[in-house]
Amino acid sequence: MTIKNLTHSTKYLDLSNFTLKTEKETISHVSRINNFNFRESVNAHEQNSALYSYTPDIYHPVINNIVGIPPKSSWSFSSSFVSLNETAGLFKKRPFNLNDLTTNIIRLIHPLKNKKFGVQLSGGLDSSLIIGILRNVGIEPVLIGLSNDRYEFRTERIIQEILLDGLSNNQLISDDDYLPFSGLLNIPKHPLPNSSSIFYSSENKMAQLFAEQRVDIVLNGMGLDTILCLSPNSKYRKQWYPFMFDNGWFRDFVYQPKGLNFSTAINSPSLINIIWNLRNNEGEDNSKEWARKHFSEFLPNELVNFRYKADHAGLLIDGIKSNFKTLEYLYEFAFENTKCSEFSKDEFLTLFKNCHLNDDKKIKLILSRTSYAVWLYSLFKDKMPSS
Amino acid sequence: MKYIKTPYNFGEFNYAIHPYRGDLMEYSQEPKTLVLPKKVSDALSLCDNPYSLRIIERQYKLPEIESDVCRELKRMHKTLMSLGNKRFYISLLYSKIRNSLFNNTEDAFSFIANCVKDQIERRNELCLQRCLLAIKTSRSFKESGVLFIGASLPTGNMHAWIIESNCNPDFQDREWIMYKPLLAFYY
Repeated sequence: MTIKNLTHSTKYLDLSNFTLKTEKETISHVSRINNFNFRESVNAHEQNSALYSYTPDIYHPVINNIVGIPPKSSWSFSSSFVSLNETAGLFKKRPFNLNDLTTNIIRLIHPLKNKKFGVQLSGGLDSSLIIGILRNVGIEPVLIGLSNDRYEFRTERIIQEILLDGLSNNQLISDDDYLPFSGLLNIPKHPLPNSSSIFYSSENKMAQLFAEQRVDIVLNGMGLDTILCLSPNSKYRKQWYPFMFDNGWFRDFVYQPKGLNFSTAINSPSLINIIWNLRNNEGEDNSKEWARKHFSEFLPNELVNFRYKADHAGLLIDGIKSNFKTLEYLYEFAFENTKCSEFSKDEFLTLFKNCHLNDDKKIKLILSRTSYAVWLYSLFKDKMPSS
Repeated sequence: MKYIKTPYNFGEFNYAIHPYRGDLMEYSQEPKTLVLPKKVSDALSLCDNPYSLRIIERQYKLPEIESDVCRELKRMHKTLMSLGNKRFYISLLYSKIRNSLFNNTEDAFSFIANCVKDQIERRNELCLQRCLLAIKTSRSFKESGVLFIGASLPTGNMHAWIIESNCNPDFQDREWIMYKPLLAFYY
């Protein structure tokens, strides 16, 4: 059976009758489930979170028979496995050059020239490249970004300053006010748990500011890590599909409710195909040397000449510390309503003990369990006795 | 080799690195204001603004590796590995006994990266041993280099790197900017 989602949002496939549902229908369905096996559900979500991937081929259903289908994707379901159907236009070998890339970008942007663009200004290479290319084709995007005084982000601050120089209507908001794990009690209802929900607060603030500036399309740099770093010869071709680059959770639950179109800047198969061809003889390129060299005219010199790497671990840890009481409350709520030992007081204390040591496995587990508790809270806070 | 602490205030506490043990220390009293030697203060301001560093050649052309130089490097690396991070001060003393195989620290790092297998496979863990081996084998470090030991807060992870002649001579090191320099060694 082939299942296609041709829309711009995630749809939810009910495997019992192979029908696609909207998020509202799925929320309503999930909220009415009575005999819920929480233990299996929590374990499934932990397995999904460990891979940071929620695509149908590797997804462990958190709700029996419900699987998210990413936008603009097509999947084949058989009794034993799920596979991705090829997207037209990807992986076609052709002798492209950089002019083809610019021409393609202009062709893609042309029908949108009356739209107002926004870009998340992180101060890193990816968002700077998007801004540089948009400016090159005559579009001045609204720039909204997060900034903070942390020592490790000093290079990002310099780039943000360079890109904002002389501009008005652009804004940097302090990361310290919107740390990860903030505002967890205000997260909107969502049909399935997702680790991205932990970062709701900062994303929601940026979306609000973009909406105030009447931006139509917010472009993000997600996916550039893949197409600029991953070897084009890699066997993992799924990584190059546009839906893999999008953060569906932010799009569906933060930006779309505010009337904003939130998209990766490389959401077109033709654009991806050109970059795939241009990099075709390259190997893995973790410091994005190829991009720094080939796109030098679109980038500040600082990003062409240096290749520094930021780490957000400090923000995550400070977010946990600042929101410890809320986390404690959410785990208590989850434990009372699921009786799963994963949310017990002892387990909570063990999980969060020494979290400042930045153990990757532990951080993933924290993101997974917390996002599960947040999901439960968003769905059932009005219904369950502990609310 | 001399040292100077460059403590840092983060949240409620001040942080420094113990010059003999190499441990990260957390304390509440105000750090003393120190007058930094020019070499250290120049290197520190480069750490504070990494884009002001001299750009080094990325596709470094390595001179032909002579097998006896490589053998010598491996032997010294083995000694540093056996001393380990816990014998921090003894490791530093060992690096002070100079064996100048290279004209500058950039060459030293390039050779280390190409001929010491451990440094290829475990480069993220062995930053201290790599820097000390570079210091030991470079002629130029004594004149113009500063070794920094820094920490990333609040994780408490630590890193060692060198600033010499307005650049970080370890061309493969992309991590150093995440660490606040807390201790500097120099001649």
